[in-house]
Amino acid sequence: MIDTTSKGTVIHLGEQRLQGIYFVELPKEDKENLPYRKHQTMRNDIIHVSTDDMSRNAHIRNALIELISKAKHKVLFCSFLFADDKIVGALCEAAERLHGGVYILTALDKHLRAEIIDEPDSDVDKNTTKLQERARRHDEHLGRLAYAGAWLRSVEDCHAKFCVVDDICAVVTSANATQEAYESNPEDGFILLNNDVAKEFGRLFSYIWRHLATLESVPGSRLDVHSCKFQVPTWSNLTGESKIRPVATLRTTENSLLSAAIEVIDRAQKHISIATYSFMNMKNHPIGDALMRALERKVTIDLLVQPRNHIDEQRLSLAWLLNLSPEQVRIFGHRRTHTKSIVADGQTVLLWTGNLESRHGWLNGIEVGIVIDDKSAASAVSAWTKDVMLRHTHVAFNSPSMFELVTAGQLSALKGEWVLYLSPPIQTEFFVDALSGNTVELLEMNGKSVLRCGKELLFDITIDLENRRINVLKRYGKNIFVGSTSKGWLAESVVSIARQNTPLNYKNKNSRK
Amino acid sequence: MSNPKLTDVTGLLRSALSVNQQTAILAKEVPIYEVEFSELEFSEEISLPLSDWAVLALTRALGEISPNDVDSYLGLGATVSVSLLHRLLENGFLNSLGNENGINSNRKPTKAEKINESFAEATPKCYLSQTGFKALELGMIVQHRVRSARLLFSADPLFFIGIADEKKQNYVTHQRKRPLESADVPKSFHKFDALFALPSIERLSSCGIEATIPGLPGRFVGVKPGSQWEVRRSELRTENKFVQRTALLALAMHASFRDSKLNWKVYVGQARSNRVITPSINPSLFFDDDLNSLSSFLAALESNEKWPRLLGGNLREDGAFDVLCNTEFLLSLMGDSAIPADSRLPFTLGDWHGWLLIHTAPSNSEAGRAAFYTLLQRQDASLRQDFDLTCAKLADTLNAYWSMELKLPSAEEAASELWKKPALRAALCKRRLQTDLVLPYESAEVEK
Repeated sequence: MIDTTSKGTVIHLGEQRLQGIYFVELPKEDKENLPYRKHQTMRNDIIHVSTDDMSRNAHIRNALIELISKAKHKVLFCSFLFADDKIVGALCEAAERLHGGVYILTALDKHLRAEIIDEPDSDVDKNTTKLQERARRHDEHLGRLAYAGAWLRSVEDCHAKFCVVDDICAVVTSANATQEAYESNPEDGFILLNNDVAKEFGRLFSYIWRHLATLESVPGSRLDVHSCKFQVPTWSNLTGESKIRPVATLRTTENSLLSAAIEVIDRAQKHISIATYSFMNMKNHPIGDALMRALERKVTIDLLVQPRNHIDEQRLSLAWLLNLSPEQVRIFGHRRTHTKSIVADGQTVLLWTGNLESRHGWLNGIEVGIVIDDKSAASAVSAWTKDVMLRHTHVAFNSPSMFELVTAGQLSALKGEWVLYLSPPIQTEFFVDALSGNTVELLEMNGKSVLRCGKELLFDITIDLENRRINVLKRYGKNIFVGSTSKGWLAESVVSIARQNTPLNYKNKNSRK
Repeated sequence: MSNPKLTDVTGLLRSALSVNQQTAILAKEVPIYEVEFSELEFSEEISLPLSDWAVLALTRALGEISPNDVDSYLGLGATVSVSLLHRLLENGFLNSLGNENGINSNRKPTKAEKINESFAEATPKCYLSQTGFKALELGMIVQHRVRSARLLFSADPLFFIGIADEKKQNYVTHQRKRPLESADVPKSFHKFDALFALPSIERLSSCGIEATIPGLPGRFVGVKPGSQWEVRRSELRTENKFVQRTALLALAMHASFRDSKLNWKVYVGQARSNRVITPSINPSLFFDDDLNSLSSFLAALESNEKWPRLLGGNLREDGAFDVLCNTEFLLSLMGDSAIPADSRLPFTLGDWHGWLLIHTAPSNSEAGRAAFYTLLQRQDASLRQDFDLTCAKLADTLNAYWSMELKLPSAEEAASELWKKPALRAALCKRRLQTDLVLPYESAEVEK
């Protein structure tokens, strides 16, 4: 709200709203009484495995290690990352024991390896040191694997995570081969003891590895990455039974994964359980359209997603879904979730390796998945996902005002009345519009105080607590949030705008007391 | 002096374009001395000057000649004609007839016409000597030259290495190091006068100086009797200190059972100039032992070495010795080649280092298998192309080289054995790629 008085322009902050879904973290003690539970499929040929993030019992890793250790001929392993010592150890042991026969698809490009730090699908806290350590481990592990006799190749857009052993067993999982994925993040997957399915995944792996790879390091005494180029023959789409069917996105060649996701959603009559790391650009997307149709059929949707407030596309996309039918859609945020599945009515499940994003993994890129039309298998996944939802770490707010956020437990900053002095380069009208039309957050960036208005506007400020005065020094040219910390929302603030006749500079910014 | 390396020695032989398989090579590194001779004699052939040729040709035509004839027929003027005739007389191209009463007893008739009436003297009268006749025939004359030169020698043995590179002398005489005192001059150098006086063939086999000295024009005659020579160590400046320069002296021979006498050649290697002394050298110049025949050479070796008596009578036609080896001995002789090849067995003879060419073969199957694996490991590129074919080819090659039919490891066995070598795992993994990633899915592709 803006008042224009004899003293100038006065802005009341608090009612301005954030766009889209915004997640607010819950106090930690709320979730301690919700233990991890395994959910059995009651079948011998389909086993559901998941990360026990409570006891850190690594079921997915243990299952993989057991299968790899029993391999008699070959192991095919696809993971963008290789930062888990134990899984690398198991693969090295297999390569030594089988005298080769271990084929790996992973990130080999130096640039790519460095980018692991900024991997968009990062499934751990944005702690730079930790991520650098993970990148270093990845590099070191590649050297170990090459030495042990594993043959490494890299396909730039391959994000799939699956393993095939002897063409008799396949594992499809959301988990990258990292310690965090196997021990900390909510992740799950299926072990498929089915020759036909395993062989189809083996065929897919062989095709990607032999024809689409652009880098390789052959087994040898050290990692020796060099480029490679192969002829790309025709690909025959994956096949499977109606009850258990491997699916994939193979760039533009095969998009059975997209068809499967739509098919599973369209099959739902009562309830859909969705788990995804991200949910972006789903409006006007075939999957978004399928979700709309489901809501029209009065199907309820529970959605588990990682709460990434800083990604506008995700906030807007989640809001779009929720606004379609607020009473049918529930959204749960879990800080570390990385699992990826869609379950329709506890009867049909699609478990896959990609994310609910616009194009990657659906119309391009390389991802795999498995569709199972079986109540026991689908129920195991939905029950396990439900447990993670119950252990949610964040609550979703739909377009909340700053005042609502503070009420929900977010920090409040710069309460009360303030006079805000603008330095000459900043135009008063522009600043008043920025402040009154957006949510305003106080950030600390590299020891400086910064006001963030809405999504893009950043102002460098100094705060004079004694005189209740805020000096606005300049506007940042770029939105650089790296290393910023939120000090709270200006949800209970009233600011009067005044103009400084001479430019303020950094020499008098020490006025904060 | 450091011990010579086989690679340096074979490099020297190769640079001297010695392509034969050498049955034995002996080498040692020797310090170089610079001997500066004030007067070395050379004989040099030069073209006969036109004026000389004209006078000699005129003499042949007229039978005899006087200064008056030279001037009358050639028009050189009285003064030049007199002095020219006298010079040819002095050099022995003409002989004087003496003052024989003015009778032109040798005068031949001629159709040549005088070009002017000369007032030059009519004496002495001369006729063509044998030397003059020969010079006229060849169009060349031999001139005697005396030069100073700095020659490089080794002292033990006394052997000519080359000449000092004059272009590299950037100091003036007074800055040069003092010559060695006579007590410090190697004793072998005291024989210079006698050696240089030998006929060229003997001189070559005695100290390596041929009829000519590379870098100096003319045929080498010898040291001018009574002239001075002085000796200095040939030194090289490295890192602010002087070190004595050395040369690599190598002797090589190719033995054949068709010829009992061994033919030795000497090769001299210096920093930038290698040379081969092509004619046969008598090894007695370098050794006390008799190395002129194969039997005496082998006897000299076996008296010095702890070798098992491997060599007796097993000389092959190509000049190598057949030697049967156990595993350890065979592997130690295999060198770096990826295919079976003759090797060099090292030995010493006095202060010389030597290498004998041997054609090895395994004395048992274990040694044969060990050799197979050693060579197979060196064929990584070929193994990556076709592992099984490489194994089979190598087995065939080895058996052919050894003239045996040993049962060497199969590709399967080799694959299992070579897995211990991480560097070869690429080849092993490529071998199974087809089985692992191609064949299992081919049927699926065809069915679709």
